[in-house]
Amino acid sequence: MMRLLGFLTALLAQAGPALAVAGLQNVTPIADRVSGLYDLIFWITFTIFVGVWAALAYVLIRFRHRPDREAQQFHGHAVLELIWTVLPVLALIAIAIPTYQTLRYMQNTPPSDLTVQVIGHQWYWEYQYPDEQITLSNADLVIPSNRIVKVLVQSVDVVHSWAVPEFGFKLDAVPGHINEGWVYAKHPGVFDGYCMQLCGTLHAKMLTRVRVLEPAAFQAWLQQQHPGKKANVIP
Amino acid sequence: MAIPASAHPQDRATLEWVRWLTTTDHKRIGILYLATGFLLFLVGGLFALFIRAQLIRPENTLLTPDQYNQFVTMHATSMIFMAIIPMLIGVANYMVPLLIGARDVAFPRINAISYWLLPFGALMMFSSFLIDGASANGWTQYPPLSGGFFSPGRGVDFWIFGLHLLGLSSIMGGVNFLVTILNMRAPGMTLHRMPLFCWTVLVTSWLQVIATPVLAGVLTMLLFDRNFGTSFFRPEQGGDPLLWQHLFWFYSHPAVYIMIVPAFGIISEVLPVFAGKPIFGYLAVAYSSVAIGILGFFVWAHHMFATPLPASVRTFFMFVTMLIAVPTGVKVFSWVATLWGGNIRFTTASLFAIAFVAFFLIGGLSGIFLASVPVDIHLTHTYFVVAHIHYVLFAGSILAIFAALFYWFPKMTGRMLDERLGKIHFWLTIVSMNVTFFPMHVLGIMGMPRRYYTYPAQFTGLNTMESIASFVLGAAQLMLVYNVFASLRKGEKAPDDPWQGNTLEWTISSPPPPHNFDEIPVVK
Repeated sequence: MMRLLGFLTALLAQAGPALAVAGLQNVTPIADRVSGLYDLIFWITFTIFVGVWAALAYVLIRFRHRPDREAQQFHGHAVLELIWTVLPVLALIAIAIPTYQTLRYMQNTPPSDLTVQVIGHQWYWEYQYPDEQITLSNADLVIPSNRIVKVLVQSVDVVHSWAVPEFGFKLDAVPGHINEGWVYAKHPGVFDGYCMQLCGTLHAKMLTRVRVLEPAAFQAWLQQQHPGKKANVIP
Repeated sequence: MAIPASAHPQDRATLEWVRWLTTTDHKRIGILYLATGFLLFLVGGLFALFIRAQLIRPENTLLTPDQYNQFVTMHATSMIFMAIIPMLIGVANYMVPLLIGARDVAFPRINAISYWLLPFGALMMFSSFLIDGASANGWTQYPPLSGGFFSPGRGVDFWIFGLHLLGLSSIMGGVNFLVTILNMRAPGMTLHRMPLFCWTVLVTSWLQVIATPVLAGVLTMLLFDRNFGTSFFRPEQGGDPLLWQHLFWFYSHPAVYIMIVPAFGIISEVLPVFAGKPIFGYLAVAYSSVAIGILGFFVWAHHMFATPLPASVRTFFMFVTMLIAVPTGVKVFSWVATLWGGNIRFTTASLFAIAFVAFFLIGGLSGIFLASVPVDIHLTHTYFVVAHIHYVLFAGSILAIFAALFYWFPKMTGRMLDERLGKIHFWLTIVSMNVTFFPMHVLGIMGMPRRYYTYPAQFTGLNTMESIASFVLGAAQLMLVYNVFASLRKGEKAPDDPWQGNTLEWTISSPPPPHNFDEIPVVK
């Protein structure tokens, strides 16, 4: 079942330049699935849009006012009304099933190789690597590619939101809560992050970046953070 | 019970302007709501123009970051509570008693109080600019940002007081219309013979009565947290910011239905008249409003999908949110079918109604993207949501209000609005509206966040285009203002029934006599 779903999602993802159209890459499998879902929804809604506009264009031309025309005085049509109630329900079910599967995939953090705490402040992001005892303040987050990274989003003051569009990732940082998600970057690169919840005057300046390094390079980076101390090896 | 010849005893005052200020006549109250609401729509629009001017290029210095956040907050607050809802209530006030064959609403004095809470609520809100600045936390006012520590000025408190007044207006109005519609329909007018606009006002009134008290409650909780040492929303004292979000959205989601359902009703009145045939699927259209009114209470957390919510909660809200698309779709298809086989006259009123169907559709469809949680995670808090909002509220509610204006202005004033000016206003509005708001979908997919006073360079091109289009959109509304004033003075005189309508208001003079109907009609 999961394999079938994976296949369908991959199929859709290939048709899916949704994020690519926007100039963004899909860096994580979650982003791939979001892209695929987006495309599914796009095609269904686009079909409805074209259908309604075509019908409107037709009626506005075909039935425009003529002095000799009589408007047809019908009140309804049970079968037609049934069809246009049932078909949307079916379309929504077609969207709901892969949506639900993707939601479960996103919400169940797989066993992780690394844990990162993302802490929102007015107006910068702080990153902590609890197992490595590293704290980065107002700097890029550095993570390894091809590893499961558990991300714990928190805040010390107001509600913020940590988002990296190319990861398909966004979680609100609510004081008093820990909001858990996970990231698996398929390849290295540098990716833009934003604060996405109005958090005060400099909300627009809480930009951040994630640098994804090959695992070996990441290991070297870890070592650099604690010169003289042997860093934990990330499996 | 004998109905007195003049239903409005206060009309004994000698000065006309005093009669206006003390009126309990639903028709005059309706006009007061419409005029005040339209003025505040222009004020809200001015905030928007400043926002767009600031965003015409990155790192612009027209507004400071704090001013920008104040304008964003007050733009939304004005438009929702002081423009769209009041204008729709204004239409309801004027038309519902006429449509059901009544002489006034059930409680005319409470109706007057409901109106007067609007200008005073607005004054309360805007006075914050003169004190130490308006609230700058977005109309959603999430704590802790809106709490006493992070928003130490008086702006939030004035916002809360102002909204308490406006909310009270809403609750009283809701009760008034519920009683009026359920009890004062003309003999023979069963619910299934009632005009669809009245159905929508019935559902809207239900929403107002049930949801608004929750807003009043949560506003009071914030007021207390800010001023009396409580900690409903303060995590360091055992409170929870999410509690605000749940309670706020419990009201604010039905609030969006308060803003759109009467608009649906307007379209259901206007389209059949200009198509020359009855509404298609009357019962489905009527009961789809009821369905929206019920389901609308079970979707609030779709505004919170990025917050720490249990998986099961997200799933529940996602399914119900998707479900709401069904009754909405039924309406859209029914409206198209209403036009089918008709003899369609293109007047400014019918053009706005047709444009509503075409463009509200986009807003409805973008909502489906936002209903799917994984996609919403990517799109929430971005300009995609801003696009969605403006398609349902501008291309939706505002276009419907314009349609109502052009349709019922002759009845209310005895004069026709100028059709040539109206059509120019229509086309300018439609084109500039789409150029302003459609690209926001793309910006959102690209990841541009909301409520940003500046933005990274890659978002520049679309922002500049939207800003220029928004200036055209703003300027176009001045044409409507001119049309209204010029027509009031020298517009063509309107007959009782300029459009060949089918509802009771067209059986009386334009404008109607104070007591509406010489004899209460009997509906067969």
